[in-house]
Amino acid sequence: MDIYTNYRNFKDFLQLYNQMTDTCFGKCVDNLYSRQLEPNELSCIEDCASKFIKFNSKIMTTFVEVQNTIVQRRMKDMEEQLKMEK
Amino acid sequence: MAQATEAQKIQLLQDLEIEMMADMFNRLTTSCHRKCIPPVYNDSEIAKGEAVCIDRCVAKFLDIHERIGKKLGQLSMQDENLLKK
Repeated sequence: MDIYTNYRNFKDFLQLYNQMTDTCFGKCVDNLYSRQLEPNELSCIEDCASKFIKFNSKIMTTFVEVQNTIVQRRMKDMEEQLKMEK
Repeated sequence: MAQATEAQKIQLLQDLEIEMMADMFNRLTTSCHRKCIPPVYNDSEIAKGEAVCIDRCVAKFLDIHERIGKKLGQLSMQDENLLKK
């Protein structure tokens, strides 16, 4: 892997990390009566973070699958159109 | 960028760190503004309650950021160990 790909991957990872904090903070913190995180907020964040990671990998595999079928369909359509033109 | 020197690599990483810190700060600002400042603008000063809220909000946000960071660190360690096996 060249340095540009590495850099890009690392940057995407960090961006996801920030987004994860943002999302889980928004969903798990419902009151600000204390500076410390409460036990229910802690378990919520634990679950939110794990779910975010799993969601991310799931959506990636699904995207690749669907994208592949779309590309294949387009190729087929184009071939058929070429045949029609001939 | 394929033949970057060590100094260039370090510069790149430092720039990235600042950029990500700014991104995190922007998200924190938006979140805490939404949670702590009610959209009623009768006073230009930050009220006492709002100030306390901001303090707690920032503390909790940074706490969550750190915890998630640790979790991600652990997970990537696990992944690396799995790859080694």
